[in-house]
Amino acid sequence: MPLLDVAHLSKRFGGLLAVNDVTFQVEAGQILGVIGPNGAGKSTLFAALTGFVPPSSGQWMLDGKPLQGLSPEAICRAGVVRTFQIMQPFWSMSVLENAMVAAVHRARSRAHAHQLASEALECVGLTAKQHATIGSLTIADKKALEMAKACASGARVVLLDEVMAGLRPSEVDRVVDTILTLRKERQLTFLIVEHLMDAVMALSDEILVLNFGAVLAKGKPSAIQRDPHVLEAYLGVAADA
Amino acid sequence: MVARNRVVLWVVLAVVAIGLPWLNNSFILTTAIAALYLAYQALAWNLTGGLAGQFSLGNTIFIGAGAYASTYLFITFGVSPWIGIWVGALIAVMLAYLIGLITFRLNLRGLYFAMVTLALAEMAQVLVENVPALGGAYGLLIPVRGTDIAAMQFESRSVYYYIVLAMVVVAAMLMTVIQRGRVGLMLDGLRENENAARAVGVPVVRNMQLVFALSAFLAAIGGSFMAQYTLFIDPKSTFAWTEAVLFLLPAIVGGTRHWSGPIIGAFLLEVVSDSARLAFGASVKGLPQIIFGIVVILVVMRTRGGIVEWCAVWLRRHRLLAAAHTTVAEERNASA
Repeated sequence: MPLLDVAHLSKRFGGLLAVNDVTFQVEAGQILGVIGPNGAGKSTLFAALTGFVPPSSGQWMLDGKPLQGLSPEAICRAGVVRTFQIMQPFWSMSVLENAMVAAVHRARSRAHAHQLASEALECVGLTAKQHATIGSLTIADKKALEMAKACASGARVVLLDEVMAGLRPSEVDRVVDTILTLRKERQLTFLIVEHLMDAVMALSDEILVLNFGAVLAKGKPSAIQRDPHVLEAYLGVAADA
Repeated sequence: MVARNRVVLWVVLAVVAIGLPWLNNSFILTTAIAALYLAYQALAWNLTGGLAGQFSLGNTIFIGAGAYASTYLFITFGVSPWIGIWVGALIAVMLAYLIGLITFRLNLRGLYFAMVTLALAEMAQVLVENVPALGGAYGLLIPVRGTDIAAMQFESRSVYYYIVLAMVVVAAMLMTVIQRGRVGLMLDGLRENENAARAVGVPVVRNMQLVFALSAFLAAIGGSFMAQYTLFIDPKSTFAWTEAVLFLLPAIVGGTRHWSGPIIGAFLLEVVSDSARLAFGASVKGLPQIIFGIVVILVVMRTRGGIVEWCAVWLRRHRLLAAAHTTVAEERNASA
């Protein structure tokens, strides 16, 4: 049985079908890259899956448990968490406190939240900066903090929305390392929206391509790179040209 | 050094607070009771307003629930206010739960929450005015019994003073316990960025319902206390929206992030308003209110985040400067 099972998910904004009958499955421990041109519905898909945008129709389940209709916080506690394209740290708090807020809902006490947060920070390599203010962090550190929060929340499926955008190559490598570490040590499953093709192709077990809200293709990265429909959507070349 | 200063401060505070009635000055005692009651209601309001960032303009509903429950039960059935207080608090908690259902659950937070609570307080006033059993628009008079412990009446004001002092201590401790616990952490996250907090699993409705219910609980007990102190309640002064604003001002002026904020704010505002009234109340009509308003504006302008926050920032800077001076002096000594 797949860990995350999405069936016929649609989201309509007035006349615009932002997500159009999307169906796909994700296995436990898998890294699924979600790509598509701008406006393909990637972020809307993430927002719908995590309860921030109520879908117009469709179902999705985690481990057989239906998630539709739940609030964002309930979906996170059920096991699906997202990061935001525009990073949303708690600015007035330290790095550690940020991670503690993410851990506290499943902690017995504040001390327990502290412990869970420290473990998450260690996974993403932010232990040395745990007492720093958010303002003093580099962009790469802030993105690492977003991942630490997702990890501290205890969710099993993490939806990363453009977590590598705006980073230098060496920093991208660090994010890739972090994702692989979290998968190995925490058995996390990832859905990654990303525009950096090299990184997403190298990292993902499978790629889901969205175009105008609908699934265009799904498969191994090598197959996706040769898929004529995908090439047409990205490059505007006719499939038979 | 810092620890010893703190102990000295606590001892002085305790001696002043406990010893105040021995001054035998009824004006000071009355002012202190008024200030402490203001501080208490501000602390109650601050649980929702400060910790959760949801401005209630309807805490008078809960204050009224407490005042009317204990008074009605006493007058009509002879039930001791010591029992009536808890009945009122229970009613207030249930009302807060219902109001929370229609506000927090339907995403009526922030400004909408303020508007809804304000409207409900106005409705409460109209409602009580039209219930003859609750005295209608005329209100209820509590029969004077002299000193009667069962009726919660005391000829000596000192007793009321100690009761409200204890209430303030309990409210301040409750606020601190919440702040330092799990709920406080969740509220910090929700207040700062609700979506980001919800995304990582922080439940918004449950936490806000909880502090709102606690706030209502405290407010109602305060309402019962005030009714026993003045021995008279009426809808107009109980539910007036100006009362609701009066009870949130100390927290805004003093600071919402530390228990001492609402208390310091309350004493400052009480002293300012009483002195202005004493000085100009008889001569220039309206001037005391104008002075009060100007002081509030000045304090809020000069101290963003309240007096306590402002002092904390000043102290930190002061200590950093002192530390820097010491380092420079030591380096100079070492090189000499």
